[in-house]
Amino acid sequence: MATKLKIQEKSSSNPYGDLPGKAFWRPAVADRSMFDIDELWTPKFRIAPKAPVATFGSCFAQHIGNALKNRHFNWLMAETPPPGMSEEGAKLYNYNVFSARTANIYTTSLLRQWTSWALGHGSPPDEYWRKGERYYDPFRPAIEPNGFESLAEMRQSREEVIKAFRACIENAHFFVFTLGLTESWFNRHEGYEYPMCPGTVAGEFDENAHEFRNQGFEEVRSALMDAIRMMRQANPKLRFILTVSPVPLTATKSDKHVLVATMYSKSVLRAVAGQVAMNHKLVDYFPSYEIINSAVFKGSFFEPNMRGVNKRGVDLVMDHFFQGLVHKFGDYFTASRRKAAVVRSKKLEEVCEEELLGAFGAAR
Amino acid sequence: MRIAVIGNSHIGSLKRGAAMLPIDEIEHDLVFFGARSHSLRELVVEGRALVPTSEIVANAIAFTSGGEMKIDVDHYDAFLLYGMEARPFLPPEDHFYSSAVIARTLKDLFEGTLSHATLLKLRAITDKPIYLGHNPMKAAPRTSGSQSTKPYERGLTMLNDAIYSPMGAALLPQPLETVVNGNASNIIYSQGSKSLAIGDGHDDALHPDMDLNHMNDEFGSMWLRDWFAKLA
Repeated sequence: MATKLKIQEKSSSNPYGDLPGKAFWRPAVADRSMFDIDELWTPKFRIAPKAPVATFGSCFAQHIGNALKNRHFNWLMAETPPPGMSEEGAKLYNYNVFSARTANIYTTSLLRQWTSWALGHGSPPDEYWRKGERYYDPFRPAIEPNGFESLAEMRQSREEVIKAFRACIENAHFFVFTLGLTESWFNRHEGYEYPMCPGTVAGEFDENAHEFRNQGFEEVRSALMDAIRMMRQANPKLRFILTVSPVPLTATKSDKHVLVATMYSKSVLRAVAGQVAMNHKLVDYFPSYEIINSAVFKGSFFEPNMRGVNKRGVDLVMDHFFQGLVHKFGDYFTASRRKAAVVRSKKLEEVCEEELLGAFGAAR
Repeated sequence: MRIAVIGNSHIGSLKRGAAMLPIDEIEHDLVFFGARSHSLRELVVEGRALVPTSEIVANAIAFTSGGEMKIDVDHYDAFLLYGMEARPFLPPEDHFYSSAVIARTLKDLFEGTLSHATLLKLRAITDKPIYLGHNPMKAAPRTSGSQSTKPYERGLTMLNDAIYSPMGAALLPQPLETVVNGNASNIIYSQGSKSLAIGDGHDDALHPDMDLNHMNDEFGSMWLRDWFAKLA
């Protein structure tokens, strides 16, 4: 009896004794419906509804912007469609997808590249792609469904997006970036990166000029930190929220099975995002990846192809995002949320160029 | 010329504005065919005429035209489609857009509108001139910013080149002296605007003060005077 008591006293004074329920699997997960799991995110920053929030990154980042807009937060839109363009037209031409028309920025090294161009630390190369009479931007090959009518137009359009990306850096209070891929394609001679392998959406693949790299932890981390440093230099008030896309790879060039390659890629990205957020008070990590991918959620939020995330999953992720803010800072945007209740539910369709790679595996 | 003026609530200001014009300024014989909101969408082509398919629209057309039951294209030398969701294009000066984006926007501004549907029906049965007047730009007070109407005029030229001219039609500007801030109607022209009279209890009822989309009779007079000058 005396021994038992002694053990109990010891256990109540150990580091786990005073931890909240969320720290323990049984009360936080096992004893709950997956829909009742909460406190997955304790945000570092209060995002005021009026604070401009820029969103960029991989496919999944698109949902964050839409959710912010639907809840009447200030989703920063630095490159808008012309007045009068329909919603369908805007979607076709990739407006209102991210805060500027960069298209998906899958890797942290691409983020660094765009940041460098936007802030004048570098300039885009002269390379362009041509298909018939149309011109394609190697850095946004699917931004216009049929390319551009001239090289000059393609370059002017790119100047426009670079200007808009710079405006986002300078004017945003929060920069949300969704890390998507580690697999990447570079120009072997010049060192710049393509968002898509040349020859897939447009351009021609040349094995002497185009180099595949599956980036490791340090490459991903250092590129991300370079981008953050550059942005903070331009806008010292800017804070960052990182997420990792839960969407698996469409295809891999890593010689591994695509499932194994996906797990590698996401693990690296998750580790980088976690470490950067842990080491920098101006950077937070939001666990959208975990909400969709944890075994606890049984894959329920994937479409039947086990790749696309369904609307219920997207909604759950974003509910956790806003609930996290409420839990930490109180219900400071109730009015906005009331308005959101009457906002028509928008169809959430991703614009994901990487999916185009699937076409190359269709016959297999 | 004998001109059929076809439109929704917006032709109220034109019709009353025409009545305000001195007789020597009315250079053309205008016959108004009006019905509120989207109801003219139901017009169908029958032979060489646009014919209403409901009693409500038939009554509205008869009331506004002084007894006509259909729009017989052989009775008119030209047609004006006024309001009917036609919109101007206001190209932003400080942004670059590709030609494909502009082309898509011009198409979006036109396709699916009531004016589009009516223009197609008319063009199916006549080659006579068709003019369009867009919904007046939303009213606003003059601000201290640019008052240039150049982007507005440039946008109309783009719409005409890409959309209307190929259909043998012309989109007309609202009088430039009614435009403020380059993109709005001067708020003095929305004050005292009234609903279109179609022979019901709402005839000529004052629009609420907060209605910035409908213009008053003075605007209608100015619009017609401006158009007549162009026709001359």
